[in-house]
Amino acid sequence: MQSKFHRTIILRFSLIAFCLSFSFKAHSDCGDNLISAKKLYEEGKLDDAINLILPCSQTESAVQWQAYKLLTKAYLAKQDDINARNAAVRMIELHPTYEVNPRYDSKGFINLLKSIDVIPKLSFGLTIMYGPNITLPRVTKLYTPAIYDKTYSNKGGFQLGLVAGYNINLNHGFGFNMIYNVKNYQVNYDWSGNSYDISESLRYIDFPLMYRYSFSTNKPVRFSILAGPYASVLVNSHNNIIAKNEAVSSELPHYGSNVRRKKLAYGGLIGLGLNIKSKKGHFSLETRYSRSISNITEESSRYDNSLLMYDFVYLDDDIQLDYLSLSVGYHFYINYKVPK
Amino acid sequence: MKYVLILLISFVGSLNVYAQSNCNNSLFEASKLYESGLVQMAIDTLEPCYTSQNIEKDERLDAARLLALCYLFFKNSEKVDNYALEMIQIEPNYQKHPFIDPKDLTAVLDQYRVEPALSVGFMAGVSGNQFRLLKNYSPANISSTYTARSGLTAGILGEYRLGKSSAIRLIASINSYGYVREMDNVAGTKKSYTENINSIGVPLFFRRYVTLKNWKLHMDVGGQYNYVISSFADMQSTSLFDGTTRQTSTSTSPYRNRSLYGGRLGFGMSKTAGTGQFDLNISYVRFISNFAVPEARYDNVDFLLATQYFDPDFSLNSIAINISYQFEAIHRIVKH
Repeated sequence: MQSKFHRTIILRFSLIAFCLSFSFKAHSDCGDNLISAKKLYEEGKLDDAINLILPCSQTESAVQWQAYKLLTKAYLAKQDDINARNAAVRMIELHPTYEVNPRYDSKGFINLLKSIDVIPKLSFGLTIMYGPNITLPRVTKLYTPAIYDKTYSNKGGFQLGLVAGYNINLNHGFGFNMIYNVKNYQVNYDWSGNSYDISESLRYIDFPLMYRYSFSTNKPVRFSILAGPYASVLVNSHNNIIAKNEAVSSELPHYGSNVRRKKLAYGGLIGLGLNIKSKKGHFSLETRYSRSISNITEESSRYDNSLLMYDFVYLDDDIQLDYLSLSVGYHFYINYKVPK
Repeated sequence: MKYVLILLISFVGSLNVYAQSNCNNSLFEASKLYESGLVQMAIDTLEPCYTSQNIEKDERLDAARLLALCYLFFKNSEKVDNYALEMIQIEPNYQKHPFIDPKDLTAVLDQYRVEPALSVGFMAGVSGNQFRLLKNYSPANISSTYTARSGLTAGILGEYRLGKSSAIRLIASINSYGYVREMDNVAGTKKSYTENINSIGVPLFFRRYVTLKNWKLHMDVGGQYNYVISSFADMQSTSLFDGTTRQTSTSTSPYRNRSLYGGRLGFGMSKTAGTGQFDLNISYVRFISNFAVPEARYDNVDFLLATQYFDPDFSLNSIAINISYQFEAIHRIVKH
């Protein structure tokens, strides 16, 4: 019984070893076959060269792209444009960053490769912006414990994020971001001889998912338009509150507003982008307008803060935070594809 | 004498031009000679130009390859090794997309492996905290519950490879985290104390990679230093009699230890992507430092009077999930 078991194991190992050795032989033979095929190609024996290359082109190895390169050249020489193109597409898929060399590559080969579009399939990068982004508070319902007018004003913020992009084809793609976004605004009002200045800083993580349409395909500089929904998660928020009159001034710095704010906000965004290609990725310059559909104020706790209501005569309004941003970033290309 | 000098300068100049034009064609000539079987003549034509001329990268690669092939013919393994190494130095990605090489040259090239020596990148993630009470300083015996506030971390990283499967990794990140302490009944009020801490984290740790088929697993062991930039606290006091709430806020920065130290453990997986590497990592940091400054416990008088809250001695343990992307800044060539 035991010897039968051992025999089965030995047989199985022998079979695996045989298959592995066959595979190894196929790999090592390919280099030599391609050398012979190259010679045949140079001698004009195109069909013989192609017959020698074809098995190699099916074998996964580091020289597989060379097999397709040689096949492309051989089919070009045979004026078989369809097969030449198919082989060239496969070659580019295997070696998407191949740079044509006029010293070695024929004009026909160069033109064929130039006619094949290669796009980054997946990209990943970092985007940063400081200064010119503007939070645009939009009051949908005003609440005041006394009769006075509030004035809202925009303030600059900051954002830093990770960006991922996926291209479906030359024109269409998707983008997903994870952005740490500091949104600031200010509200001023006067009441009973006092002047109040309340600024708020809200730190969100924004998760926009965008559809992107790119113009000027495969040019070094490309414009794009984008649109999509986003969700924001509030990390923390606080107010800086100043009350003053002619005689005295009192300040409440870094006064937490987390409990008065909703954890989640939603909206949509539109934008314009400019990509400048570099060797391993692209630089991006992007402007976006985000419009919120969520009220940031927690309605249930509007009247809970007695200090704000009685000492500062303040109640939170229903506010939606729209946002205008300009960002610069760099995207690394992870892999490529040849669109159908 | 003047004419002799002019003639001499012209002669030397023409020699230089001749030598240059010779070298311009040397690769082409040497290729022809090699294909005709005149291998020694190919070496004699190409080698002086290879060592003396500033030629372009792709031409230099072709020249090194041709010289390696020539010496392979003479079975001069030392020279073949030298030129194979030159090929990889010129084009570190050569083995990924090689030319059509004889298997003997491929075997020599396969002796070398290009690996990242120094990688740089960026990371981001979310974290949670575990509040660790070291000593309570409440004026009365009050039961408290502690809840972690989810935090954020983002930063830059550098990784220095010690070998094929081990590395030293240094991160500089901005971290935002916090906790909530809830006290059910303090003299007729329910209190909720929320503290948010912003710090710069500098983890330095040893990483071990284990290669699977297309993925690598990694394990981390090391330490972490945190520098507290700022910290703020809000106390919500809700009366148990009439339900009114009063909020008091303060900066807790003067009462916090600026420098915090801890040990770090981590694990995760890595995947090569493009010219870099993606990581998904889970880390646990156990800080050994007391976050509170004991000597300053009673210094925040206004806040103490308004809230009757005394800082405990405490520490926070952090659990974070990070993603990172790193790309090769400097590579090295290793011979097996």
